[in-house]
Amino acid sequence: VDARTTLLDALRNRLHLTGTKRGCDLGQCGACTVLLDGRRINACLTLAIMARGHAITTIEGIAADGELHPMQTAFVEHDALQCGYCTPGQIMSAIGLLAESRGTDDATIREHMSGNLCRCGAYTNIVAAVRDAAARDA
Amino acid sequence: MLAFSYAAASDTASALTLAGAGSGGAFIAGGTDLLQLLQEAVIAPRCLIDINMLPLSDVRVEHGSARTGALTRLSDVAADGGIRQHFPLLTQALSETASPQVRNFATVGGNLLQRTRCLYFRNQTLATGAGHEAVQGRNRRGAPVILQTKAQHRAPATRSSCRCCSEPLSVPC
Repeated sequence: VDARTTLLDALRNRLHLTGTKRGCDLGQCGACTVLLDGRRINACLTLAIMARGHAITTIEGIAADGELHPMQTAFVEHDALQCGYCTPGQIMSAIGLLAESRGTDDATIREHMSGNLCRCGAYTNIVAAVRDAAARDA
Repeated sequence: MLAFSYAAASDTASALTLAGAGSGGAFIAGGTDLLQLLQEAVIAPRCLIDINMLPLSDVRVEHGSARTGALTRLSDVAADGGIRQHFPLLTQALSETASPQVRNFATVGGNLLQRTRCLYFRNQTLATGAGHEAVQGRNRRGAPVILQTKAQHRAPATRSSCRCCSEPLSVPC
């Protein structure tokens, strides 16, 4: 890839993994959240060439054996979306959040999901979904 | 983004060589600030020198002071046990910085070298514990950042000059 290619562009335009969304392209909206070696980052704020040798997990890679990831199931069950554009980023961020072993009360979830914006305003159900998935994960 | 070449430095010496005079090179670590400047063509380096492989990502807390490597991610500093115990202000401040995703990749060195977008951090009177202006020289290199431990905070030592460069201070550190 060209050195200028962001990880986000490489995923979407080269690998055709379009589940990772381009929102602001400035690291503010979280729509492009992926996991790098298990930690959530903004794919728009890093270069593809810098990810060489690292494990990148996108929304396409979390379902196993045809079964939705528990976080995906929780988002469906709690109707934690409206238009769905921010949802892949929300789910990847929420998976990253649980891996960070923080508290799972609503205030903690809100604070640590603050890097993901939802213009439809589905926040109430997003928090409920993350809380539920965290409880099942425990 | 304007075109640039890319080189990954394997050690500190090669990083400095790559960034030598006339190279037009710029270091990149987390890149969370640099990518935005590149996207907007605010900067146009000829070469990006990736320094993520350098062994500069440790946190050491001893004798009431803390040292962090320039490549330590902000989230790792905030989560460090010694930092949480002795410098809770730092943990709290870092936890309010940017977003969780940015904190997982942004580095301490990059944070201090961040391109200034507002004047807030230039005013030492607004930053508790800051011992000196955070702006020194064109690239603010060597600007000391001095934080107090909880014990020091309860009984602050009054100094009239910076412990690093002996310049007079307008606030005690």
